[in-house]
Parts: sequence; C-alpha cells; structure tokens
Amino acid sequence: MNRRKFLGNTALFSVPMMIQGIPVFAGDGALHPFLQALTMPTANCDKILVVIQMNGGNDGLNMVIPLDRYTELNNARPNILIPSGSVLALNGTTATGLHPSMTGIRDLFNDGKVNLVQGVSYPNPNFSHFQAQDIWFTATSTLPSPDTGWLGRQLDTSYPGFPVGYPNATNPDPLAIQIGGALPLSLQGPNINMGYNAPNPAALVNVATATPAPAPVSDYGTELTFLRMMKDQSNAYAARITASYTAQTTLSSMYAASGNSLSDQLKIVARLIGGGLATPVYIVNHPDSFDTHVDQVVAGNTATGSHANILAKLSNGVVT
Amino acid sequence: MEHEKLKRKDFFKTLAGFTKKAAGATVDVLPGEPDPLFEKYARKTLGNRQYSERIEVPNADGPVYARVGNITSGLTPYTGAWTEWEVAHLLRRTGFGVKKTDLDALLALTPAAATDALLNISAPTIPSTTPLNYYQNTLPDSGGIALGASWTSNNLTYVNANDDTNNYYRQLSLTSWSWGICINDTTTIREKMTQFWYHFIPINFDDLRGLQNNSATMCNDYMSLLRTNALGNFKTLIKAIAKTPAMLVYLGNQYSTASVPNENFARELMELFTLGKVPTQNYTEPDIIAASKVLSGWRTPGFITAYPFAPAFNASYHNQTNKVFSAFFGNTTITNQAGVNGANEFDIFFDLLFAQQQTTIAKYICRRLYRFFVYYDIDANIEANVIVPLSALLVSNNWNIAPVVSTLLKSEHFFDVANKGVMIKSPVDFIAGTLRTLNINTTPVAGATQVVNQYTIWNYFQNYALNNMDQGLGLVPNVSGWKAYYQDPTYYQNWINSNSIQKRAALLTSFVNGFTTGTLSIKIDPIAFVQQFPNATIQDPDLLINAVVPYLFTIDLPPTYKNDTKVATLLAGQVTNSYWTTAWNNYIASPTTANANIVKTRLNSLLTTFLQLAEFQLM
Repeated sequence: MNRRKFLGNTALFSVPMMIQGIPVFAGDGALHPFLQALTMPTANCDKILVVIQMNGGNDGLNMVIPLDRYTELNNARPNILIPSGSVLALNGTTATGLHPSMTGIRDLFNDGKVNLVQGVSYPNPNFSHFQAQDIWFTATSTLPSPDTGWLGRQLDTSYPGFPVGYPNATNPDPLAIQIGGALPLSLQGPNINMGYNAPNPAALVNVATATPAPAPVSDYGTELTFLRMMKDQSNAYAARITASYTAQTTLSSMYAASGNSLSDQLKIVARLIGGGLATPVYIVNHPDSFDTHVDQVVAGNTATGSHANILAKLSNGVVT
Repeated sequence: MEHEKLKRKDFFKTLAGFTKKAAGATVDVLPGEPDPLFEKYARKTLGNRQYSERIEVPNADGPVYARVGNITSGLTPYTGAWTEWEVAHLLRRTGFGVKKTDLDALLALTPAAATDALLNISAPTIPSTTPLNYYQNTLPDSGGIALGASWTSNNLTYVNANDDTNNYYRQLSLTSWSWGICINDTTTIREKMTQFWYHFIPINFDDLRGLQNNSATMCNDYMSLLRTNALGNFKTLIKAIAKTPAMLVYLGNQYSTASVPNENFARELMELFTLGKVPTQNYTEPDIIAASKVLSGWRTPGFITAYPFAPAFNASYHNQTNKVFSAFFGNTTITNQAGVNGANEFDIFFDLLFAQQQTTIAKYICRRLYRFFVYYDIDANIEANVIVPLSALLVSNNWNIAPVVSTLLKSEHFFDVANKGVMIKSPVDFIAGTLRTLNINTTPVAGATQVVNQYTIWNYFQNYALNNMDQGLGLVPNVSGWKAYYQDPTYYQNWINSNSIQKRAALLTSFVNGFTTGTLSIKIDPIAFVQQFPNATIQDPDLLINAVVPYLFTIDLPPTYKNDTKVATLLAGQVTNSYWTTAWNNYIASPTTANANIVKTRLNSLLTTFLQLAEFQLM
C-alpha cells in the first residue's frame, strides 16, 4: 500500500466529518498496513515518519475550522470563535479553513504538501485528560488502556524480539528517535520502549562496557547480560547517530535563528536523515502546552492570544 | 542464522567509537570467536528460575558460578554465614544502598535480630517530620506558613491569585522532602515499605493537582497514611484508602452519584489492589458495578475548606438498590440500607470480599511483596515453598503484614545465593543508594536559607529520576504503578533502555567529577569514603579493594579482574603494591593538597572503574 493510496483513503478533506468517530489506526492487533510499511527500514520503503507531538488539549475547531458549521459554532462558542473573515481559505474547498496564524501550513496545503484528517475522536468521551491521552498514545479506546503505544506495537511487529539482537547488520540504526524529553507511551512496545532519546546528538554519552567475567548461566547472569547488552546497544546507536549528525553539514538556509525550538528539533531530524540514518520514526515535541484554558484568545480579538502564538510556532516550525 | 550472527558481530566491531575495551576491561572478543554477550543472551523464560552456585572448577580463575539445579529453599529461618555480603544484601533490599555504619551495626547482630531492627519502625524525623515551606522567597505562602515551617496542616482558600501556584510549590516540597527521607533516613524498612504501598495502591500527584484544589495536603495525607501503616494491617489499609480524599479523587469515587456510580475505584480495587489481574479471576462486570454502588456516597465535601479534609458518607449520592453479587462472591446480596445507614454497606462489602476470597487475596499480596523484595520470577517451587505458606501466614495473622515481611526477610530463601544481585536497581535505589553507599554529602551549610538550598538539591534528584528514568516520586505512570514490579515478562528490565543507561552512567561520572546544584557541590569524597576502613586495610591495595567490593557489588569479582583494576588504578600502572602504600602513608603523614590529590586521583579512578560496571546496576 503506498502513501498516496493511504492518504486517499483517509484524508477525506473534501467531505469533512465523514470519518468522525472512526480512528485512523484501529488498535488491538489490527495493525495498519500503511503503518507496517512505514516502519520497515527506510531503505525498503523510502519513507520516514516524523511525528510532531502537540501536548495538551488542542482546540481543533479553532485550528481547522469547519466553515460549513460556522452558525453552529457561533451558537456554541461565540466568545472564542475566529471571525470568518480572518479564517485562512484553502484551495478547493469552502467547507474548511485554517487558523489565521497558520499561513505557512496554508501555503503547503495549497501546494499539495499537506493533508488534513478531521473528526478523529473516540465515542462518548468522559473528558478525562489522562484517559484521552492514553487513548491517543495507545490508539485504542478499550479500557483499561493497553500498556503499549501505537508505534511501539507496530515497531515490535516489524522488528520482532527487539531489543535482543539489535542493532544488527540489516538494522544498524535506532528504530525510533525522540529529540529530547522522556520517551513517550506511543513508542512503548511489549518488551521495552522502542525509542532512543537524542536531545543533543552532539553530546551522547558513551558508556563503559567492561566485562570482568562472563555472565553465569543463572537469573543473575540473565539480568547482567541484559544490562551489558543495553550498554553496547546504547553505544552502537550513539555512534551511528553521531556519525550521521556530523556527516550532514549542509543545511537549508531556511533554518534561520528563529528561536523556535520546534524548528530546532526538526533541524536535528533533518540532519540525521540527511546524514543517512535509516531510522524510520522520529518524534519531536511542540515546546508549548496546548492547555491554554482562559488564555486561549484575547477577548474581543479572538484571532490572537496564546493559541494563536503556539499555532504560529507550529506552522513556522513545519515550514522551515 | 549462524551467518547472520557473524555478520552482526563484525558489524559491532566496525562501528566507529565502539569498542569492548574500556578502563579495566579484560574480556576481549577475538576474531572468529563467539561474542559471549550476544551468544549467551536470551530473554528469560518465566517460571524457570535459574539457580547457580559458586563452585570450584579446576584450572579456572578462582571460583566460578555454574547452574546446579532448581531453587528449593523456603521459609525456614536462615542460619548460614553472616558476613558483609549477607548484611549488604539485606540492607539494599530493605533500604537504599549500604552505609558502612549500618552494615557494621547489623553485622554485630544475628540475622534474625538484624531484620527485627530493620522492622522496628517509627515516624520519620530526619530530615524533618513533615515537608516544609522552602519556597517562601519565591512565592510567599498565602496560608501564612513561614519559611522553614510545615504547611501540611494548612489548606489554601483559593481566593488569592497565587494559590494554585502555591499548591504546586507545596507539592514540589512534598516530593523533594520524600527524596530527603530516602537519602537521609535512619536505617529501617519504613520507606521501602511506603514505596511498596505507594506503587501498589498509587495516586499520581500531578493528576490530582489537575483535578482538585489543595492537592498537596491531600497527597501528603495519603503518603502519611501509607507510611503510618507501612507494616500495619492490609485490610485496614485498603479500607482506609477507600475513604481518603486523594484516592476518592484519583479513582473517581468522589464523582459517584446515586444513579451513576463511578466504577473506577471498584474496578481497580478488585483488579489491582486485592484480587489481581489474572485470567482465572472470574469476578464479573456486575460485581464491579455492585461494588461501585456500595461505595457510592463516600466523598469529601470540600477541597478548599479548613484542614483537615472531612471525607464522609453522603446518603444523597448513595445508590439505593440492593447490591447483587455473582457466584464469585457466593451469590451474596448486600441489602440496601436507607439514609445514613447506607454507610454500613461499606464494612459489609469489605468483610465479604476478604472472607469470600481470602486465599486469592493473600496469595496476590504475597506475590506482590515477593516481586518487590526478592525477584520477579515465581516458579512452581517458589509458589509452593514461599508464596503459599506466606499467604497462609497472612490469613492466620488476620491480614497483618509485619509477620509476613519478617518471615520472608529472615528466610533461607531470601538469603539464597540464587536471589542475590538479581534485581536491577530502580532509579530511586540507584540514586539514593549510591549517595548513601558512598557517603556523598547532600546537606548544604546551615543558615537562613538552608531549607531553600536543601530542597533545591533534593528536587534536583527528583528531576533526574523523573527525566528519562521514569521514577519521579509521586508520579506513577498510571494506577498499575511502576511497570518494573508487574509487567510480564520484562519486569525490572523496564527501568533500562539505551537512554536511561546513559543517564545512569552520566550521573555516576558527575558524582566522581563533582557538579553543583543549588549552592552545594555534590561530589564523592573518596578519601573520607575509604577512611571508614582501618588504616591497615587502606594501606594494602588488595585489602582495600576487597573491603570496598561488598559495598558496590552483590557477588565478588574475579581475582584477576580485581588485580588488573588495582594495577590500572591504585598503582597507576606500576606493578608493586608499595607505590600505593607509600602514597597513602605520605598522605597520612602529611595531608597536604598535593599528597591528597595523589591518592584522590587514584581512588577516583578505582571508583569510576567499579561504578561504571554493569554489575553495579544490580542489587
């Protein structure tokens, strides 16, 4: 299944809300073929997934604005509604527009480089942030939430047995890299978190791997061997990451000193990809929380406020 | 497959910067020979304990460990050898690290008396009896609590603009203080037991902060309850948490109504807190609903009222129907009691639960204790020889935990060589244990702002544990607690990934090199550390290494490795012991900076080599 077909199936942008309530990736073992293809080594599928994690509760209706439901929106939430005249129009539709601060993503959309998936939710939400976040990261609404993430499960299927036997000649690189922060639930596999954390690829720690004696065949030996293996793996991955990072020195001139840390994280990802790292999944985090509460908009000027600022950061970060 | 293995090994050798040789390394991978690490590694098959024992093998480099059979030891009181190795094992499992003063004190006792001493617990006094206001200079406490004073009996009114932030600082005070106890506590099992209960019946401090005002006093009350009942009665404790504001909020009983009872607490009560999440448990969804109806109406009337909170039964939120249970509960019906008498259903339900399923509950709690204090793999022998008799003891002692913990920790099984060093240190064990074992000073100088400086240091370790080590105190990932203690099949290995192992290495390096957090430089004083041993021991580099090793490792290192390390570190490449002896004696005779630096450099080199071994991550 190719990328175009996947997007054709899911990004029903021209008929918004059609997939309301139906998760894009069904959880609980029903692994999505597209996701499966994506997690295979990039050499095989030539595709890399870069996830931008926006933490907190984003007001999706003020980000991707359903203009065809503007009257209902005006009835339900006039205090935070963006004036229809300010909403950024999109080529090919009058039903949907973007938040005024997202000009960069609007341009990418009009150039055919962005697709939108609307109405991703779960039935009968109970408004628990934590439950919503678990559902989000695990891609299943069955309770209690599973202990594995949507990416972690897929990576475990594509790379069975990880971390035992990794890295190896076929898969020399980390399966997933997050640029900073604690490793997310989305990357949690059944055995181990599948991610490698590289906040600063230029400053990874090389750990000592001395082995005073072979590990005995016992429970002690099993745990000791596991620790030794993780140390070796850490060094091996660190070496690959550092090598890729330093190999790519030519950078796009669009990476201005923006002070946009999302942009900085994406720059690291670009350097690693450009340097030849075959890692199929990257995760970067939007630096700000989307839990904007009463600061979401400036009263009387709803196109401004903290939501506008962080969406601008997102849009600008993606464009650079 | 063979071909692929060779390729993998070759691949490792070709990696830039990757080498199996590090300071003191002795095992080289020779071309064409199997890499012992990757050849030997296989994920453990659960239910199959691997028992090994020290045996003499001709032509081997000293004793080696070989598998000799299944583990058959049980709860018979341990009467074997009582050396620093056994005492260190007991100290690591019941507290944090091995302080020499603690080890010496317990070594002078019998194994049973040593355990009794650890089980003799009282309320914490060190560093202070409660968390304190350290944040006054950043944000004056709006409850009027002075700098350095306790805030735990004071609720905020939430009429001041900063009260929310104030509550946040109080919560930081609570987590920082918890680190203060781990690092500075007197040596008893109290904090380990408190952490056991905390991960077993947990709340998440941050979640509560998002849900209700005055979460700091609520969380502190909850932790106090666990601490007070650390070795108390299990049934009493479970019933108590059911009426505690923190748990009422965390698992939603607070939001139960007569018509829509919230099922969260009832579900976790059965699934996680008493019966366990095993496929053979056939309590039913209607059982959970019936229990949630019994528990509806128990709530805290207000969260911005004057302290203390007053959780109570409110009949108007209580479900007014008969509560019908399945065959799992003997088809019992708890008849509805009208009005305030609805509160009586609470005791009736818990008596039903603990009577109807006493064996299941007792075994479940004993398995959880075993996995926290001994090892995660409970095979058929251990189930029969340890879990079953322990659970019978719990029942015959009417749910009192102390006799169960005491019997386990005094048993042959606990001291069985098969159980030594098999536990991967949790981040708290790793951080607090290392600080304590190496006697690293974490107390800033006394003065007007000492409390500020002190909490800053404790908070540093909280952040370190939280950031990529996933064990911030008070911050379990979910109601199941920390994965290391329940997640089949990987258990303790959940603490370790290629990132956290770097964090651990980096922290050890910074302990040796020194780093400043707040106003204090945190650094090992290697001279003070070795001077805990007699001078005659320190002078002799072989004796010194043999004295240090039991504090850092659970099983002795091979003689050749110890000798190689001695040469590489204490002797700085020289071959005769006198180089070290002379350097040390020079320092003792004339403790000038220059002489001190000579021995310090070599001792730091020794400690670095030892601390960075994978073996140091085990306890």
